[in-house]
Amino acid sequence: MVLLTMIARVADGLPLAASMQDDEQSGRDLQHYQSQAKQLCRKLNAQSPNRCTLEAGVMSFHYIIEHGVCYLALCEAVFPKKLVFAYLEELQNEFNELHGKKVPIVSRPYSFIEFDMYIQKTKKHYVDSRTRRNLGSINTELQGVQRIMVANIEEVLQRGEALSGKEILQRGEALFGKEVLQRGEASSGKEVLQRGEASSGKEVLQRGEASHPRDETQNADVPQNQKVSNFS
Amino acid sequence: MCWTKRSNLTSQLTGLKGSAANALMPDTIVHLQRSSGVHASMGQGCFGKGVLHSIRQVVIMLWLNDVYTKIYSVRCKTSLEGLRIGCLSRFNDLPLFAMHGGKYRNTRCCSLSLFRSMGRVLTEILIWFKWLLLTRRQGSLVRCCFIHCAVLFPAQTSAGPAQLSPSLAGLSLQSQTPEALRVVNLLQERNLLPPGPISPPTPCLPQDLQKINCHPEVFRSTLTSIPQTQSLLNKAKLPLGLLLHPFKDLTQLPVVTSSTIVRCRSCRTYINPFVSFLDQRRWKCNLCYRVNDVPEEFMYNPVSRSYGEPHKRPEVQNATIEFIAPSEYMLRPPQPAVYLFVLDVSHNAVETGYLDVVCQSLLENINSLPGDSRTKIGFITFDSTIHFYNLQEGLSQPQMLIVSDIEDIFLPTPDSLLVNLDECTEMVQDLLKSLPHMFGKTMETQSALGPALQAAFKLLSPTGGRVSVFQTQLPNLGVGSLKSREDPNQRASAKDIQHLSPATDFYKKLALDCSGQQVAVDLFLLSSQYCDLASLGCISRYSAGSVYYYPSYHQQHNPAQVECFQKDLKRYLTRKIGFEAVMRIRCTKGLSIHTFHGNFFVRSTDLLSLPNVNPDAGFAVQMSIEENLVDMQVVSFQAALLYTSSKGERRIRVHTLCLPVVNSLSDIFAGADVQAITGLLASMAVDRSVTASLSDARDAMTNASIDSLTSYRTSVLTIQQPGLLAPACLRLFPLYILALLKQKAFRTGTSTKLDDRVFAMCQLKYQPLAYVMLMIHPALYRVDDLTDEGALNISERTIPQPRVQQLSVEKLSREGAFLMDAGSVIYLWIGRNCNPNFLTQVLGVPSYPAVPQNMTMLPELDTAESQRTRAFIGWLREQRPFFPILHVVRDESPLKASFMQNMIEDRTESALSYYEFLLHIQQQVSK
Repeated sequence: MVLLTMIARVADGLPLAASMQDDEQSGRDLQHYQSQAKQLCRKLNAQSPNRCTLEAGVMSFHYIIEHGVCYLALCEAVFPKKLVFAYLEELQNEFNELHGKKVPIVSRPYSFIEFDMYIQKTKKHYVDSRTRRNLGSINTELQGVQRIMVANIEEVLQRGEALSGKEILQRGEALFGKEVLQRGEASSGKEVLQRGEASSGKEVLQRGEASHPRDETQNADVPQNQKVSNFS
Repeated sequence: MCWTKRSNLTSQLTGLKGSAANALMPDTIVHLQRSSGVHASMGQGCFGKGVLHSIRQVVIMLWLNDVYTKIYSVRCKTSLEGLRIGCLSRFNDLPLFAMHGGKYRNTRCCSLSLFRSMGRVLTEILIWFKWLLLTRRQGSLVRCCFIHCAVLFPAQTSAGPAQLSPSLAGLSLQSQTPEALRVVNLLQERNLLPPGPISPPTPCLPQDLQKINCHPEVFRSTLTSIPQTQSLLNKAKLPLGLLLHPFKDLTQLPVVTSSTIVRCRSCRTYINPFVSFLDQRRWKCNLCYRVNDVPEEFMYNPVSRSYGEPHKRPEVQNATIEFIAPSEYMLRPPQPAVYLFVLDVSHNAVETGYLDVVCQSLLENINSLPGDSRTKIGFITFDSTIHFYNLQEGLSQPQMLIVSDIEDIFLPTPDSLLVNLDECTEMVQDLLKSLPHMFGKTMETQSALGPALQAAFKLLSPTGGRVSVFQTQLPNLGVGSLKSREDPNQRASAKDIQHLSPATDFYKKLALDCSGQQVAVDLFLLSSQYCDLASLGCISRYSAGSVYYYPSYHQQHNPAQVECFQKDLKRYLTRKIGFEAVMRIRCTKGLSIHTFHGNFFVRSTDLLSLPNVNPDAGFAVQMSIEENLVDMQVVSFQAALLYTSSKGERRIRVHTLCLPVVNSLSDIFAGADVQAITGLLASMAVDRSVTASLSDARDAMTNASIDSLTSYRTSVLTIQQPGLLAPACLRLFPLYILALLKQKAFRTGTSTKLDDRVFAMCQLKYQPLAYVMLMIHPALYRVDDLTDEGALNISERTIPQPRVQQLSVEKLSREGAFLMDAGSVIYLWIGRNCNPNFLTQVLGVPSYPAVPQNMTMLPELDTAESQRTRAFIGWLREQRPFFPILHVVRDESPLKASFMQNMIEDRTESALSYYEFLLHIQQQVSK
């Protein structure tokens, strides 16, 4: 079950489109995840790994980054990963086709909110994992899924720094031990590591420190317990 | 350069108007006089750009206690900027200001405005003196202070005086007794109504502030001069409050997109035209006085594309502005427009034939519903069971799903009950075409409105949206069922009216649940019988919906009502709408808001929750003064409305109003806004009728007029004269109070259905002031002799402007035709011996008896008279968003009674005439 879908611009975390969650049906309060998703999008930058899974208790965030746009989905942790990524891929193709060129120039949040219609339709295809169509897509997407890095959302958000590939790898080591890392190394680990060190090292950290505390004060202005109010 | 000085002082003091100015030689001094006796004036226009640069010297003189003193003179050397500074700093240590140092401190002078050019300097000085005179009017110090300002033009300037003269006549300064305080003896002056619409008083502010102040139709205060202390306010005995029309359709609205919206860090006020800039980098909040930094971004002005002029940004130039909100203002993605229609299909409902009109209107306007490609729509019908409609794409026809278990309502299918309008238009059209006939033979008389509303809430709660409920009878099944509480014998009772409060809290509770899920419920009540609007109305009241009421609606028997319903529906379906909205009203420290009027839920002390906001909703608030406003020259009020547009944009509309603070009773009275006071009193009286009793509310209104006039008599008037004395600005107060007492909502002794009364009360509370005033005191015009004299010219149409007449039968004449504009309805009364010319040329009938009984439209005749009349009625209708029905009334018409009931100055069996009412007030005032 895909509970939440969000599309955002990586450069500044500006939300571009989202799918309304259905509180009533799932019977869950997604407000918390909604704000986590927003914060996460702000923390991404060009150095962030372009595919990643972030665990959040019984839920997981999965995202891909393509052409400077992040496609993020929240699912139950048990929901097959490959399906989610196939789903995000599909969104990516359509969104890039339709709006890709306009992404760098928009300034209003949720400028492409009408893309919601497409998200909802696509979501329906993927929710039912028995659908034959899905099985087909699983096979093609299967290969890449194994290599996707895993981290914990709370820790990523609390660090107050930009999310970069290097740290996630380190975290991956801690969490999953050598196996994951080795597998990672064998295929793409080194590259990512090197890239991480070269570009996202000090510079990124400094930038992160410089810019994000301000972001957080902005956040703090918004009362999280009230549903729509933002006059604080 | 040669300067000459005019020596004849006496001629200066006699005034300088038009021709006198022309007579001045270009190279002599141009004198502008300000004095208690002499009216002279200068508009801003007189310092055009050409003149500006040629002004070289400014002389400002005071005529103080018969001594003509030159208090200031400066030569402008190099730049105008230099003059500005010199002028201001010199100004502060003038003897006059030293004298009043305690009251008029230097800060006043500086904060007055940002002087930008020399032309402005002069205007500001003059305006400021005007202000000073007004404020000190009651004092003795400036008793004979003539302020004299002279502008010296160099010899080569020929444009100066020539340009000056026409503007001299334009702006007249108020003398020691302004018009608003002219004493009027109400018992003697009978004709008090102005010939045209009554314009709200202008706050006594410096001109540059007043020019950008919020428009009174959007935001106005009952007192345009705010008392300094609560005790002063108590003395004046006038209510203090604000009336708002925040989402009014505007023709011009500046919209700002910026990544950071500049707000005060401590009180979160939005930056506005009334803040002060300490320097380029810091601004001072006008509500809490905190000093804030100007963000870097704000230094750049996108309009002029210049840098370093924060005071020229649109936010600081417009008192009404809209921001596109950044993502911090959203806790979830903006919701789509969602419309759900809940239709009564019981036997009674089918009998009225309203379904045809609703379905037809929807079919016609389905493409004009505000929204984008995400817009969703759904339908529920109900009688003793609830019927849902599956409108999923791909079905051959809409599928009806019946839920008969109304005890525990559930949704029969998880989706497809609300469908995307674009994708399923055909299915929706199918349903709308078949709905009116589907229940043609129904024998079901019961109505399970409560369960139907619960179903609607369940359906919409994931997204939020708008529910439109159409109900034709008293709900009598399931939760929320009601019993008839009206005793027809008590309709005309002079005693207290019972059952004005709800019979059950079911509707209020459900409305609060709806409000929490961003769902608003609009109620259309079409009924010939008692429906207990007092209970049903709660569903809209607390969910920020609106209520429409069409008594005795019937397709065949009441065609006028059908037309009205059609027009209202069209407006309702196509007007702008804002979703998931909240409104916060802030005011300067020291003032506090304590009571709100309108349809909403108050979520915290100053935050109103509005699941929907529509352009026809008005609000009112009451205020008190908690801390003395000493040291404050002005106070400000700010209303900020955050909403999601039907296109999924989150927007914030901000209105800011600035008003002067005064410390004398006479100034408070001078600034009283009689219409706003009446509007606020009406809302307060509705509350009082429900919480206490109707007679209590009636007494309170009468006492309000007695108390304020008593206070005026004892505390402001120095010379006691006989009669009932009122300041000119309050001269209509007793008339409006009498009109309120005779209004459907509050009248006693005249037969009034309970629902009619409750509906009138609803309207008084949530309609914007302009329409409330027409409801209270309709405008009467004589229209059989319309001429083009004084007519308005709007886009090549000539609109005659007849005089507003008093609402008294003595003003009617059998030879004439009279038009009465009561807001939601217009009556055209035809006298028995009406001018035959009018009958043939306007009504298109040969004689009086041939006037049809139920005429609701004027024929389009190609005569000058017909065109004038239609142009005038059309113009009246254009000014409001709803469509007032026109009824042609003759002596035999059943509507004659409704027309005559609006003749509020006349005596009726149960109520006083205007003159008797005045005598009653006078008696109380002189006690």
